[in-house]
Amino acid sequence: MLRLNHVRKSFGRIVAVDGLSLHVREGEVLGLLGPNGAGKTTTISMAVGLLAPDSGTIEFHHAGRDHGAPTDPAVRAHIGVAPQALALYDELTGRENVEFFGKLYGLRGADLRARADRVLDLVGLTDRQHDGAAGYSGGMKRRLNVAIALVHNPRMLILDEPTAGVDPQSRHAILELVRSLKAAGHTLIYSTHYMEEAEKVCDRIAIVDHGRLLAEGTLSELLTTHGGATVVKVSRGADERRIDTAEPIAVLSRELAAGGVTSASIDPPDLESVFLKLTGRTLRD
Amino acid sequence: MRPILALAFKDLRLLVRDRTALFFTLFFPVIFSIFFGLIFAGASGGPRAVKLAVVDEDRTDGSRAFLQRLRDDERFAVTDSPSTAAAEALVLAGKSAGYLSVPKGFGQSQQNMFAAMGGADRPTISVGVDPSRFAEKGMIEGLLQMHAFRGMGEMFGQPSKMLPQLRAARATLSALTGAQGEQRKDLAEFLTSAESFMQRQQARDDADPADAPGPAAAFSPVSMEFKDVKAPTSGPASSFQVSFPQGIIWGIMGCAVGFGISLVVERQRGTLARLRIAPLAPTSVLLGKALACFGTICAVCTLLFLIAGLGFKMPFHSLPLLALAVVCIGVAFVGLMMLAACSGKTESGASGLSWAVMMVFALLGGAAVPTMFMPGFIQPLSSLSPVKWSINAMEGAIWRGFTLEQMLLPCGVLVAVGVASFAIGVAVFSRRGA
Repeated sequence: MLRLNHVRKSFGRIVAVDGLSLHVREGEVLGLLGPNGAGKTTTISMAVGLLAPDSGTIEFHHAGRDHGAPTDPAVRAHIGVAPQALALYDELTGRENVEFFGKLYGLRGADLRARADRVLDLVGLTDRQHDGAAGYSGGMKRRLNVAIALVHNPRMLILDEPTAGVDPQSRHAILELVRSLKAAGHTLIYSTHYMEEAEKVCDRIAIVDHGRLLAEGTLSELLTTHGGATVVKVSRGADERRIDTAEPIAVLSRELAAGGVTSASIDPPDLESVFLKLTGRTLRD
Repeated sequence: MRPILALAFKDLRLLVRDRTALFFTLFFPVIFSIFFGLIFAGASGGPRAVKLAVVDEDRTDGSRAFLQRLRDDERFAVTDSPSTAAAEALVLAGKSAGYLSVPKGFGQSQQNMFAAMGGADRPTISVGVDPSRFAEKGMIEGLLQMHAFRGMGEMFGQPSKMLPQLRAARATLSALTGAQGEQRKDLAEFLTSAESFMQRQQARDDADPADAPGPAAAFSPVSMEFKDVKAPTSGPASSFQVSFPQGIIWGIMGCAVGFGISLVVERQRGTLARLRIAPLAPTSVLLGKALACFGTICAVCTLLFLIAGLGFKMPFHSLPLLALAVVCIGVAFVGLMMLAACSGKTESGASGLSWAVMMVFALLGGAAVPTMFMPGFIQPLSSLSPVKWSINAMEGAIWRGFTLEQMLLPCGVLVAVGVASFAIGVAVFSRRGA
């Protein structure tokens, strides 16, 4: 559905995106995982036509007739974006925000009202729709941010750090919303630096750092290819041993049988270890 | 067009919900215009009555008729006072320019105008005037003399009232012993002739009341006609014709800066990026903002001119030319709004710089002090300010009596300023991106 080919973008001497290629397939949730400053937001800005790449191409394809570069307004009409910054009007109510952006996408009348009802219900803001957005909590604003991105029923939805700074309850609600959108057949790009979220909701994950794509694949593919072995940790008093193994149960049984074990754990590979292996540092560094 | 209208309505809605912005855009200009209009109302030569406190110690029909004549004169603003002391207090407090006290016996003396011939005391009207109000003192003196004379004229014009007085005067003259023979003879002839004249006048009035000349006409020594002498284009007829264009300019400047800053705010909080992602032409966002700004400017002008016209009876030379002026001013300040939008990267930076420039424009252009009161060397500099051309265009349509050809210069300058500013602003703003 969306293909980025060797895209490069720099701001002065800083290279934000460095020859990145990415393919988003129709109906999937692609996770864009990387630390802050990895180039995720710049990549998204180019994907929606907000920034022009210095080199490379971006193409949007779908079953409808509008396809091409997202710099074309007709193509952008099929994309919805919930930016990382809360792009809302605090002076307007939740519903007024949704309806205003709906009008920009050509919705009006009963159709607009029905779409606003639908998305406000989807994000759980029906009860507070007539309250000023200024009075919303951080989590409610995040959900309203997503509702605005959804009002015109886009074929592809891009969520840029949708859970940044929200409470656990709102985070759970947003992740559930992503799952329901995926179930409804939407295509999503989910940008985050939280590996747990990427593991929970993404079909495929693209790991980016310093503007470059480091690895791409399903979670199991990434773990298999870049996750390394499972680590068995065994402690005997102050002495701790780390044992890399493909057969952690057998290794742990052997260690327990040897006696003197005060604590033991099995750490399977995860995205953190994948990122560590690819970059030599953790996601939270 | 629908998205542009949606953008414009959104901005108007944001303006209405921002009470501070709304105050400075709509209500501050109204307050400014009325406040300065009232302050300068006296200086511009508007009609102002002389305040006069009156005391009626006589309380007769004659005294009441005399004071009523003063009340009916629009050049006096008469205040009744219970005593001479109270009237004096009003003058000392500066609440009245003077006072007038009608003594006891005033009405009786009006019934016997020739009583003084018999040595009777004539009641004296006492008048007190604040000496610092020199011009008003002269005016009070003249007007009182006029009304006293008018009262006498009315008496002479009514034979039924005058005949008994003349007969009584002749009887008094006959009884006098002190008067010189020559003087007595002259007075007797005068009174006899006057009595004969009054009898004939009485007969004419009785024969044909409709044809009889009015009492005042019969004994008015001179007939006067007053005209307002003023050149139609020499100056404003009302101080509001100056203060309202000035007030409107402040509102328009607030509007232009406010909408310009709102673009900076939109960029800062990310909504501008969201607007640019929407399937709109690149210029639509700016056109929406421009439309909202233009609409607000027109609304400010319309509201203030309605208040001026309906509330303060401010006359307009030409409403079509005024509409032309408002449109051209709107174009100019929408352009300046775009310059304000790219005058800084942060809200505070853009606001500070925009207002600094606008203040210079306002001071040079006559939004604070009319350019006619500025020193000679500053007046040519005022042409650099779009505020000067805006006020010039509005005044041309309000009281300067401009023709369409005369409007072309200020309107042309305003449109040129607007188009050039808008083009520069759009170019700079677009280069900066969202």
